[in-house]
Amino acid sequence: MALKKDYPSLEDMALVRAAQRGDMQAFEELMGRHRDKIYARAFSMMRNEEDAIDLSQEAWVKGWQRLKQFQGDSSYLTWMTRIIINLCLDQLRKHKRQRADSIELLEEESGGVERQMPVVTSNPTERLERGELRQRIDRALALLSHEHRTVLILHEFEELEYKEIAKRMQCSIGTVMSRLFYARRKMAVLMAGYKREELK
Amino acid sequence: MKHELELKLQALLDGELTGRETEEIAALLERDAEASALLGELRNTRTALRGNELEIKLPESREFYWSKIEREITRLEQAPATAPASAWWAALRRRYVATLGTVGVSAALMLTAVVHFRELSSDTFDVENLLGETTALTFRSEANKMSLVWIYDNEQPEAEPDGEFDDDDTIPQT
Amino acid sequence: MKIIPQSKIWVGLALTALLAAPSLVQAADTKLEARLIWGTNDEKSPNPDHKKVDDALAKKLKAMPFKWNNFFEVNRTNFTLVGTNYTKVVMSKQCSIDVKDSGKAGIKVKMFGQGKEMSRIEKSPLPKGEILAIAGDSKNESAWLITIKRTE
Repeated sequence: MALKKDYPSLEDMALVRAAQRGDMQAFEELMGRHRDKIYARAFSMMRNEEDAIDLSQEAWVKGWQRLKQFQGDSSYLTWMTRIIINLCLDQLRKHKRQRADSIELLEEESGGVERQMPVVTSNPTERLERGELRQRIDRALALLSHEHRTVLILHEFEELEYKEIAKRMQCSIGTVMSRLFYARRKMAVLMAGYKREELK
Repeated sequence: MKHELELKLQALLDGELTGRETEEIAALLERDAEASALLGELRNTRTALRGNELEIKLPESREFYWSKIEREITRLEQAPATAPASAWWAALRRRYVATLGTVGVSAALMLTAVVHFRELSSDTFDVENLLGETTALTFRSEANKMSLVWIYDNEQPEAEPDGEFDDDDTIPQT
Repeated sequence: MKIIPQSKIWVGLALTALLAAPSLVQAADTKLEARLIWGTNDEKSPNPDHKKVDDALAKKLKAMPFKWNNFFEVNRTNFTLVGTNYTKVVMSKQCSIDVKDSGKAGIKVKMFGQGKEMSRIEKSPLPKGEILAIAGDSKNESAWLITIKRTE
C-alpha cells in the first residue's frame, strides 16, 4: 500500500523532484507555498490586480512546462520569480506599444527634469515604523511610470546589477542608470512630501 | 553638476564603478558639498527601499487560483499537435499567400495571429464566492445558449412579511 | 523579376482585409446588454413601470431550472467594454456589476450587493447572442436576476 505523501512537510527540492516526475499535487504544494510572493512581484510591476493574477497564473503554467529545465542552481522561488518578471516585462512592452509615452518618461529621457528636484537632505524615513515605511514606499512606487518602477524593483528588490536589468528590459545600461537615478530622486521627493504631510 | 557625474555617484553607491572611477569620484566628494548631499540622498533612498517591499497577498483562494492553473495545464497537455482548424488555415495560406510576396507575408502574419488566438481560447465558466455566507451553483443550457450562476445563502433567512416590491429590494441577499 | 498579375494583387489585398477582420474584431470593443429582472409567480409587478420581458428571453428563462413563471424587466443598460479596464454598471441602488473583457472572447464580472463584492465570475467565450445570468433569492419567494448578453 502506497503511503500518502505529506507534501507540506517536504522541502521545495523534494517537491520539485516529485513534480518533475509528473506529480501534480507536489507542484500544487509548491504553488501554494510561493503563490503570494509570485503574485506580489507581478502586482508590484503591473499595479493591476487582474493583470497580476493572470500573469502569475501564466507563470505557474510555464513553471510546470519547464520543470525539467530547473536544475537547482537557484532556489525554486528565485527561478519562478525570473519567469514572472519576464512575463510582466513582455506585457509592459505590449502596453507601451498601445499607450502614449508618459510625459514623465519623455522628460526624463530628454534629460534635466531631476535637476528641478531639490536634494532631500534630511532622511524622510527616519524613525518610521516598518509597516508605515512599507506603506509609504508602496504609495510612492505607485506614482512612478512603469519603466521607472520596474528598474527600481529589479535593482532594489530583486538586487540585479545594471547589466542584468538592461538585458531584461532590452535597453542600454545608460538608460537603466538614468531611469534608476530619476526613480530614486522621485522617491526621495515623494517620501519627503509624506513626512511633511505627517508633520502638519 | 553634470548628469554624467550624478550617474557616477549613483554607480559608486551601487558598486558598479571601476577602480579608477571610484578614486575620481571619491576625490570629487571631498571637495564638492553638493555631490556629497546628493550621494547622501541616494543612499537614504536605497537603504529605505532595501528589504521594505510591502507584502501583498494573493486576493484569491488557493483552491480557486489553482483550479485555473490546473485547467490550463491539462488543456495544454491534451491539445492535439496539429489542430484541424490550423490545417485548414495552412491550406488556405498555401493557396493564396504563396504567390503574393510581401502582401502574402502580412496576410500570413494575420492568419497566424487569428489561428493563435483560436488555439489559446478555451471554455471557461468560473465562479468565485467572496462571502462566506453564500454559495454559488452553475448551470449551463447549451440549447438556450445561457449560463446561469445561482447565488444562495448558506442559511436561508425567515420569510419576511408581504411587502411591495421595488427597485431597492432587488438586491442580492447576503 | 516575376511580375504578379494585378488581379492576384487585389485578391491578396481583399483576403488580407477579410482575414484581418476577425483579429480586428477581437481587438475591438465588446458591446453588452445588462438587464435586472425580477422573477416571480405573481402575475403583475407592484411597480407598473416593470414590463414582462420579451418572449424570446422569457422562453429561455423558463427553460432554466427556475420555479418562477413570470419575469419582469426592472432595468436595462447597454454598455461597451473598452480595453482591459472594468466598466461599472449600476443595476439598482444596491446592486452593481463591474465587467471587463476576459481576453478570451468572453467576460469577467465582479458582482456587488449592498456595497460588498460578492462574487467573481468568468464566462469565456461569450459569443454574440449568448447570455450569462446571475441570480439569487429575493423577498417573498421571488428572485432577482442579472442577465448579460453580448450584442456585438
